[in-house]
Amino acid sequence: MSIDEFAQQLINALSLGSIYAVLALGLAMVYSTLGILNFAYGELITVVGYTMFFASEAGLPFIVMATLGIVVAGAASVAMQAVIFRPLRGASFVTLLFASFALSQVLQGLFRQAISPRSKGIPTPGLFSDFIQIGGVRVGVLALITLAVALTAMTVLLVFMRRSRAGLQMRAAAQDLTTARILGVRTDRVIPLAFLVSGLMAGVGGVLWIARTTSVNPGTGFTPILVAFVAIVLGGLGSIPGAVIGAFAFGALEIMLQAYLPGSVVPFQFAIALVAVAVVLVVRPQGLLGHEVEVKV
Amino acid sequence: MTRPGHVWLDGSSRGALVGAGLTALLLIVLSAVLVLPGDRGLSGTAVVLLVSITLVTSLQVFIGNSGILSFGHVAFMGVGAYVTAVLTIPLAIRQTQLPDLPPVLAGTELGGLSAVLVAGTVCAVLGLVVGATLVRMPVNAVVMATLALLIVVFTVLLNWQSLTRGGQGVFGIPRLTTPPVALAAAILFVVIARLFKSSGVGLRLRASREDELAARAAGIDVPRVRLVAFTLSAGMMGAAGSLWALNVLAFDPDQFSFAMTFALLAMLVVGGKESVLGGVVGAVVVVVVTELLSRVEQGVTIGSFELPRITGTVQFALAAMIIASLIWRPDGLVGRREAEDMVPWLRRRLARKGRAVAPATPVGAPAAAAVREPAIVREPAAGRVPATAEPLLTATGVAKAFGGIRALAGVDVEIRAGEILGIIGPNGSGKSTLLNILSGITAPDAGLVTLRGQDITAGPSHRTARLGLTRTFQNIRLFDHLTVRENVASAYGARSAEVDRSLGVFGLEGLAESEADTLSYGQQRRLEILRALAMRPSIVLLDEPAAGMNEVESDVLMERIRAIARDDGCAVIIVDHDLRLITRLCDRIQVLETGRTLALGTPAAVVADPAVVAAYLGTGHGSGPTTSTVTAAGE
Amino acid sequence: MKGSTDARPTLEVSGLTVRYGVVTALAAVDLHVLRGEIVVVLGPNGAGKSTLLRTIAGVHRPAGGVVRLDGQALPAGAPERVTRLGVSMVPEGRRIFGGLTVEENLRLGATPRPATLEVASLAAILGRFPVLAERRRQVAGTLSGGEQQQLAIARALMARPRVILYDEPSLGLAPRIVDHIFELIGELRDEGVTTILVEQNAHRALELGDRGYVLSAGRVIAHGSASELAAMDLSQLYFGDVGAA
Repeated sequence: MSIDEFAQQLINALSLGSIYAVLALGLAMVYSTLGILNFAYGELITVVGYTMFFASEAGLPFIVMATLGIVVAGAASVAMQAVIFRPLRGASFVTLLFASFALSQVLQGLFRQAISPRSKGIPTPGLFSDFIQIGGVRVGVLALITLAVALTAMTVLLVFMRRSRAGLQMRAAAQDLTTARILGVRTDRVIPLAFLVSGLMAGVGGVLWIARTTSVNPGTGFTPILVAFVAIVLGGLGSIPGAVIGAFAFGALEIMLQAYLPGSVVPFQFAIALVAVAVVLVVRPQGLLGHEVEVKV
Repeated sequence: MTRPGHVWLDGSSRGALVGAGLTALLLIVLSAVLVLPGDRGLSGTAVVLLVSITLVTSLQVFIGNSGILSFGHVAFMGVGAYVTAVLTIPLAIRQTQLPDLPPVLAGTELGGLSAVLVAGTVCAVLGLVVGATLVRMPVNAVVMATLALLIVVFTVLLNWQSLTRGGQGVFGIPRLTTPPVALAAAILFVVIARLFKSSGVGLRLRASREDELAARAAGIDVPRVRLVAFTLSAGMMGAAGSLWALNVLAFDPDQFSFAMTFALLAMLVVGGKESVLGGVVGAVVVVVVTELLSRVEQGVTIGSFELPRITGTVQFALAAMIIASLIWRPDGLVGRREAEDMVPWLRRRLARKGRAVAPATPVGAPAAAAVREPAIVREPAAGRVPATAEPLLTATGVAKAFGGIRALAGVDVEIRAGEILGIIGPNGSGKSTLLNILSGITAPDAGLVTLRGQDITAGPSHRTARLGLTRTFQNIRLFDHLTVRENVASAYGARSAEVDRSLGVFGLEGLAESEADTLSYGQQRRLEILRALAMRPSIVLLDEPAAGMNEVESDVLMERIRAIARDDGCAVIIVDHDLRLITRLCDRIQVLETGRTLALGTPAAVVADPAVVAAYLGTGHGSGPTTSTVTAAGE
Repeated sequence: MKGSTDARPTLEVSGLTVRYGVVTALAAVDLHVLRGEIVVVLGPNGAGKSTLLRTIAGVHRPAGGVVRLDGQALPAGAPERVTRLGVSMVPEGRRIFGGLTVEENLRLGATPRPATLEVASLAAILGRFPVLAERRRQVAGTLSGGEQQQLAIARALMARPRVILYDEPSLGLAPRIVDHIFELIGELRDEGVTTILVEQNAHRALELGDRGYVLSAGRVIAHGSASELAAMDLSQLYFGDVGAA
């Protein structure tokens, strides 16, 4: 294929990858601080979707819809911590994973019953469907906006983590929680904060995802979240840069498969991508950037 | 806090069969209650319940025994169901639904039993292939990988239109799972699950569930036992899926996704995942709740779509039950008990040697403990000479760094049969790392380790153990929820008769059926040593065996270790901080400091060495001698 | 250097008992520290010295007994609160955050203090530790052992503690570096910081300390002034007698 087509696909890959990266970062926030994979993280995206839906019904402009979505996602994440993860603190990884799985099922059921099992459309600005011409390449406006927003969010997160006091405390807690406590770091503040940040990232990622799919249903959060999980495992559990790289890698893989697979095989693209990830993990079980852990006997 | 242990007869499979029989009885009673009245709805519920039991039991075989949460087993259920559908739907109907089937499949019509067997076999093979990949991953990644498995299979089922008719689903499957069939199947599955659990493979798998590291060090090939369980459980799941299909008669791929996974996992969590009875009880609870809430919700049950189609309130209730269980009863309603543990008089009859465990000895009563233990009084042998001239274990130039820190900078070790070597040194001198390297847990950056001429440098630890080098751990790594007997018997190559004899030698035979975590500290230490000896090693490494013991206890320990070396010709390497013990027990002492050998020689020589004194008690202001005046240190 | 004239102990440990599962790590330990003095805690490995410090710092919950600071009981199991009350610990093995810079490690030490005072504290500490000032932007994991130990102490000082607990500061360090560290500990004591020093290096520690306690298997088996303890034959306690095997 031509350079221009390739460039187009590349932009698409980067754009999709950047959404996955934002989501993966949110998930990794909680994982690195607490060692928990929050299965109900996907429902935060669904929450974003429904918030935006109701906001659109109320006639609010898109920007307001998006902002509300982000805020509500953050609040919901903190609520999850208070209701589920705090009572279960100290439980094993598997128990917590399973509890969050249960929570995710509850929420999906709730959405199905309280709102509707059917998809709800969400209006997006016409601007999103436009294209602009850069050189010989036809680039979607939405793709560019997505990339810009995602990179901005990631930068803000980076600045927050590196410069602020709270961010420093979170990073310390992620490396060595006990020593952080000995120095005075308050876990009853740091942990909810980690969940808040995680929720806000889910909010941003969710808004970008909804902007792309323009609809929401009770299962909306499922696919993007699965990718976020895979990205984290692929990049290496515990590695923040790994999460980002894993996310972009998966996004690129997905777009490339979509572009190059013969038509009949396209529905299997996601499955194929997952198998590819599994192969990588067999060769390198700790993920692309994961580290070997010293055995404590 | 004491807990009664499981009780087995000689040969634990007898206990398994008794328990399975009791559980079967329970199932027969349940079925009778539901079916005999002749109400079609209740009979239908009975079949749903029994089929659910086959499903959850299949899942329990893997999850309960390995401790690994699998989200993916429903994939096997789906495959089994579709295989069955494709092979049992009457030819005429099949032609209209699935016109593009390959001739082999289009033309074959099987009876119920054949279909179930084919489904089970196909899934077992699939499980073997998939499992071979999965079991090599670290445990947290395995959980995610099973999730991926579920999704991949779901996608395939949804999109492979010619085989499955995609989202439209299939229908017309003959109703071959009648109540008697379902009951027989449920009982059979329970029996298989119990037999597996008490088998050698099952025991070793359960050991790896309790403590993977210790299991490997006990010679257990952990990926292999996991694979066996995964394959078996995949095959069972496929067969169960087949039975399910032959009951619901029509389905689509949506059934094999999260809702079903969730329901089955709920059964395990609520009932108790480590016990086959737990799965059964969980199934009863979940099915009852589902049925009640479905009726409340809708008034009528819709045809045969009962369990799988879980809508709002049912799911909510299940999730609430799961979360409540996880918070308040993480071991489930029955905990780890099986059917025979629930019947006190049966437990008493089955007990090998009388009563359940005596209360754990409080550490504060060491004198009483010493009195109760059989005293082994031996004369210390003067000037013991090593049995052979040839070293049993040789390590040369061992080096290891973690991150930027040099833990070992070139250490040599040598030991002969029947010899007791003590390794001491201040904190951070590299002792633990050295033990980890010798036992194959950690690979060194440089150096060579040979055991009787065989290169064991790279481990892995289960291979090193099987070649004759076993160990204990600083932080006691027992298989907490296994009995004392099981702890010893799970070591690779342990023989039943010998297990009982060795329990006696170490004074633990009265506790054989008690769970390991109910033992006192001293008893736990002894048990760990016993487990290490069960493999009849040539060398045993003891990592701080006297930690936390007072003088009386450590004297008894010392005698036992002497006996091991003298009577079994076993070489012993002991790391400990109890210098009183070390200096009186060891033939030679090797002193490590900052990753190098500082001194090596007899206890008298080493203790008198000023460099060693400096390493432990510190010098005055300014530096003291740092090179040994005894044996030259390895550089 | 003698301790202060204030008779009531700044830190008092009474009947402290700590268990890990079935193991009793500390059994009814009594200990006190007067204002401005250095109390040394000695004993062989596994005696419970680290456990003692960690329990005072709030990391472990005791099964019995209490720790009082100026008469007030310290909260158990809440190290972040203990730090806020003025007790800082320099943990065994230093436990610096290897992935963070020197400056970030130091700033973390100031967590109990208001954010506005952080800058001033940092300047003061860097002034005192020129070696750290030089390396302030370096990743802490790349520092040498001695530098890391200085960092750990400097970090504890950022909280302006009244009491410092040192857990084996000489561990893995060359003797010359140990000199520096001990000098520093002495200086801090002279500035009024009450100190508990746990050490394997008994002779050096007793040269520096005012009083000492010897722990073995979770109990205090000897205590007294530093000179009294230095005169005892500690190797007897540590090695036992070498009888015929």
